Amino acid sequence: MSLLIGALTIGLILSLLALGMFISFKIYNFADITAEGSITLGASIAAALIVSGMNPLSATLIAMAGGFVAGTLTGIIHTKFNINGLLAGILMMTALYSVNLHIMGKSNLPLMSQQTLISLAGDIGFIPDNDTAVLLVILAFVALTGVALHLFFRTNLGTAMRATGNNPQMIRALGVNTGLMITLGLGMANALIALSGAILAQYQGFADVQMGIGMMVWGLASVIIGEAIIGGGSVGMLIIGSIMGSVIFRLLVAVALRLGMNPNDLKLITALFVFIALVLPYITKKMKKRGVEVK
Amino acid sequence: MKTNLLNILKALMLIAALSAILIFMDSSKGKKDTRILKLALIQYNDSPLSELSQQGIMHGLVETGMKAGVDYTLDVLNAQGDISTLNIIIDKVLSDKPDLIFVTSTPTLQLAAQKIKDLPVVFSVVADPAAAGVCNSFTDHQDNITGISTMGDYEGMVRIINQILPGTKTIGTIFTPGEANSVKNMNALKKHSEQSGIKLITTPVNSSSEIADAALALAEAKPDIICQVVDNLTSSSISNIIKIADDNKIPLFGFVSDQSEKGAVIVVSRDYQQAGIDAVKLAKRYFDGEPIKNIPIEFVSKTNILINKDAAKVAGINIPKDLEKKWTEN
Repeated sequence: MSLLIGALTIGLILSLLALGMFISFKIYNFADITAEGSITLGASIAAALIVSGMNPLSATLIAMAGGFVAGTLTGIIHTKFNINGLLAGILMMTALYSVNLHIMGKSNLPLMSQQTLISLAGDIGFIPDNDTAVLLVILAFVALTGVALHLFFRTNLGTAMRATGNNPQMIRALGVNTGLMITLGLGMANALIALSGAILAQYQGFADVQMGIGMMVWGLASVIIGEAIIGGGSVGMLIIGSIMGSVIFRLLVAVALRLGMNPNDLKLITALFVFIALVLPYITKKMKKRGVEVK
Repeated sequence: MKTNLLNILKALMLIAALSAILIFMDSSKGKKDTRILKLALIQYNDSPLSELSQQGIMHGLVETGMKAGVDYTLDVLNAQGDISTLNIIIDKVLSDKPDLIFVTSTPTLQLAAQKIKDLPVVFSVVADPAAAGVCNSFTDHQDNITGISTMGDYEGMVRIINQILPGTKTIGTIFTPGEANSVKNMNALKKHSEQSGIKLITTPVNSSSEIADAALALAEAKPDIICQVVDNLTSSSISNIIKIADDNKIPLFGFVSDQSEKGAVIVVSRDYQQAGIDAVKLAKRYFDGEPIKNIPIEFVSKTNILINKDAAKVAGINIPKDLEKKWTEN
């Protein structure tokens, strides 16, 4: 059971990363590599504050704020200085590496005996098994975050943000500052990603300066897999898709490992999963079309 | 709306199906062959250090006289530098319930310490398990975890200094107060050098741009040897330090093997293959009946000593032939 519970838990923790990638990638069509720095930023801020004695909830919220600042800066670099989005993200990710080292004071910060949100969740009285309790608490938390995000995107501000991604000319004509909308959106995205990092650090018991490597691809993969399975009809569906995509992706990795795949092929196999998720909707669409023609 | 719900249902069914595979395969592995020892090795990334240690573990297992596939199986898993995969790999190994788990590198050890509470774990390629948070001291560690620390051999370095430059009164090092391991290494060198009556002069740095000034300041103090402790900042700027040491005719000794070709006269570095062999020795003690709780963490039993003869000639250091032979033979 432990592999199943572990894979589900990691999938849900990283679904917050997927939600962040959903905002930057699906709403603004912006592959924001700041993610690799801001997930570590969230982890290092949370770890450093918890080690210094702060209660884990405030530490996690401050970590989220840190992610928001990082995302906003990427947005400002992109919109105010007219620097290509990918490059703006790379600049921010590079800078964050040093920032994270400074926050932790070293490359790796353990949280072995400290009280964390995860240890608190594990101690919930009415669920006997610690790991299951953690899983359920995280599930509830992610569901709440998803609902909150959905409600936000239906407000005026949220609608203006979505419109900025869809049709910037139209929304500019309505008097909305698109630069501000992009900056805000990237801030929100990275706040969610930092939150994911903060929870991940507390779950695994340490923050490490290298832990962000490869995370952007996993986040994007989750969004794409989710969209392929659930469909991208509305914001709500995309949000549900990102969360489920992240969980399905982790389960696929777990199954591949369980089936005894050579671990050196792991990255190859994951690239294959994402490729299939990308081409599947295209192929099914083509086949449906052909079906119509035949009729 | 209807298709939306249908799609969500589809995704849920996929999750259920994948979960079912995991549960089913879990229970089908329940029948355990007790004659074969099940071992697992978990690595975080592909690096020369972890590969050497893996060779060492395999070599060590052969040395115990057991046969691979007949007496034991070793399941090697590598997260390829991905922390989320590392989490799943540890869960996978946990559900396999092996008889013993080897881990290499600090993040793997930390994750194992967090997730594995009732299976024996033996680590290597971890410099400082106390800083990683898994032990208070080498004898006082988490009940199911022991292993091999690959921290620099400061005692050995001081012994070598006494052998080839017996009149040494002062040695110097640059260190980085911002790096916990740097401070720890500096204190370890201080402790061992003071025990043999050698004074340690230190100069702090905070960023790579300060290295040149710090090296000049250290050279001003005229230590007999610059004996550079290991940390991230100084090891990436070591060429700079070596050049300034050369200009001031002060020999430089180091602890990282690649510093030898960069001009360090003597390098005393840990042998990572031996770390793997030593890890197997600890595992053997556990299989012979000693509880992990009672097996202290150990340093690597073997140290490599590298001599850069050109640098030694420039610094005017004569390394006795018998010592040289002894070091290079090992």
